[in-house]
Amino acid sequence: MIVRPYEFMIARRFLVKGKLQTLIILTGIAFGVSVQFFLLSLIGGLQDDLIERTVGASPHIIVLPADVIPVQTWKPEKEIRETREPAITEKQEILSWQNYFQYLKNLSEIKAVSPIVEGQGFISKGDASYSIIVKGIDQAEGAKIYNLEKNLIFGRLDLTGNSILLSKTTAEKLQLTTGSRLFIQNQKGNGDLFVITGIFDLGSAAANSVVFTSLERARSFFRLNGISSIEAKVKKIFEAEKIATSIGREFNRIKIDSWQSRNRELLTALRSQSMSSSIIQILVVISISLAIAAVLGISAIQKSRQLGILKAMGVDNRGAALIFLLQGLILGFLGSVLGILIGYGMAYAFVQGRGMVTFDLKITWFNLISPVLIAILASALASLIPARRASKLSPIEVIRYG
Amino acid sequence: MDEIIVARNLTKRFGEVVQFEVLHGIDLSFTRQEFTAVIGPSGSGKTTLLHILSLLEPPSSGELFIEGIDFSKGDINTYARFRNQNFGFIFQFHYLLPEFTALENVLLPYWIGEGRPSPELKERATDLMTKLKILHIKNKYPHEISGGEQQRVAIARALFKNPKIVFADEPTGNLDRENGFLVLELMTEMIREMGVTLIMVTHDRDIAIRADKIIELVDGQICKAFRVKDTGKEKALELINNHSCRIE
Repeated sequence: MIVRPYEFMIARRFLVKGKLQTLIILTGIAFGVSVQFFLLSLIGGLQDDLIERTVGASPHIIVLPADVIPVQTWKPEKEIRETREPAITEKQEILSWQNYFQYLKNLSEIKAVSPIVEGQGFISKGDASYSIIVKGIDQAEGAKIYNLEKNLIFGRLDLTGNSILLSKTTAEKLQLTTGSRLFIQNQKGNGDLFVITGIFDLGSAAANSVVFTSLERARSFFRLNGISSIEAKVKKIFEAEKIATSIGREFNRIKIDSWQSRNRELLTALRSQSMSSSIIQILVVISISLAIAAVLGISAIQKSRQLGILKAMGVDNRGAALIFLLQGLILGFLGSVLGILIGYGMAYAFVQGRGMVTFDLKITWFNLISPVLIAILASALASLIPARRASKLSPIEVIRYG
Repeated sequence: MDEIIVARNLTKRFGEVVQFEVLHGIDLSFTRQEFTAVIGPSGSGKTTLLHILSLLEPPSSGELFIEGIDFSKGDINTYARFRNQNFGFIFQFHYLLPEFTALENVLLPYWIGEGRPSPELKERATDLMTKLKILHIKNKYPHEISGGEQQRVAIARALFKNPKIVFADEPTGNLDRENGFLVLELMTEMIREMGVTLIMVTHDRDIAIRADKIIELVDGQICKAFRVKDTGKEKALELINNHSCRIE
């Protein structure tokens, strides 16, 4: 659609000369865009932070041995009614794990993958005994999965020999530090002596009940031939479930878990949060569009006389409509530029002046561009009503009746 | 004679449920470069006739040719460009756009038809405004100038693009008599000088007598049509002052 010079010139002049109306619409669009931008950045930042806290220092995909349901060994006299009790499962080890490990290692979507040997352990000190999880990992890959480089607060990342990494919580509880020796027993009562080389903090209590050691050391500690599981981290966090499903299709004797399937509640909460923010955005867009339509609509009625004479002088229906459509577009564009500036200011003030907030706003191109595009589109749509009116106006109506 | 507008059996009806006819089969023609005054009592259909001739309103039936082009049928929207390129309009009310200065108002038809005017064209517009004695208000907005000045700006706007035909509907109706005559004199003089065809609707017989040709409309029909130079001025005055439709 070619815009002729006069259409733009008249649209601009109508806006400049209708200062109050222009100001009202601009303010409306600017606030709408800034609220949308701020909301998107806030919710995005909050969600990223929540996900990072939940799964940042943990595997995204876990390969586990398939659940085994123990075989019934006795026959009941009467038929047992079907029960809804969960099947009794027994933790097994994966013996021929190299297959799965190699498969995962070759996937381009995977960032890190490590075989894992883990089990219950007890640390004894004096009369006290603490229950912990002993986790054997591949040092390099495991460190990537648990962000150990970043989360190490004391000592060094060393898992060779009898070295272990202990969490801050356990270390504080047992008053241990790097270089300390400690005795850990397995479930069967056999124990070994270990040396603490580093202390980490993974954030959550559950994660901090883990003691890291090397894969080989853990295997000898638990007297295992195979491994307990394979843990992997993916490059794009939200694709974990899809990747897990595709791995599951390749193999049938293992069970694949993704972080999403283990955090359904969190995801549901995030989704409803996003939904409520979308609803707020939609309502903001609708109310602003109505305001633009109303104000431009009034302006179209007020300018009937001008339009009538312009049409007599040679403006066609299309030109008359474009004069109003362009006003909408110009307002949408200027309003959203203003809105982004205000929104950015709000975000900046929020980040600067935060008290209890511990996360950053997520400012992305999407968060920046989508409110602008929505505002421009909404303004164009809202100006269709006055544009249609302008297009239909007959010059004679105005000239005859004044 | 060179006829710029030819109309045959033009009728105009208004209303959808109850129809009433305003023009009943009018035949007339307008000669190039002539000043024609259309007179008649109010309600005689003279303004409707002007609107049809200036392609602002379609006739209900009949034929209309302007510059040999058939405009009998069709949507007036499609004639927008033809109006822009060939017509100038002066109405009873000035209809200047309040958002634009006097000079910008004069240039508006050019913007619509051709686009942004060059500095030379702006100079031409100021020349025209000088001739109309409104140069001093060229940068003022319509609400800042007097009625006579407003109407002279409207005249400059109608003439700026050298139209073939200027349609004027009671162009001095909103001015006091003295001012009205002044504006009218200036306007007719300029239009004659430029060789533009002028069709003016008026109920003022003193104005009509200045025309080359006078058409009197009564009840939607042509009552009289004559050239002043054929009858002589005195006879013409006598003709327009009596209400008989016979020319003896």
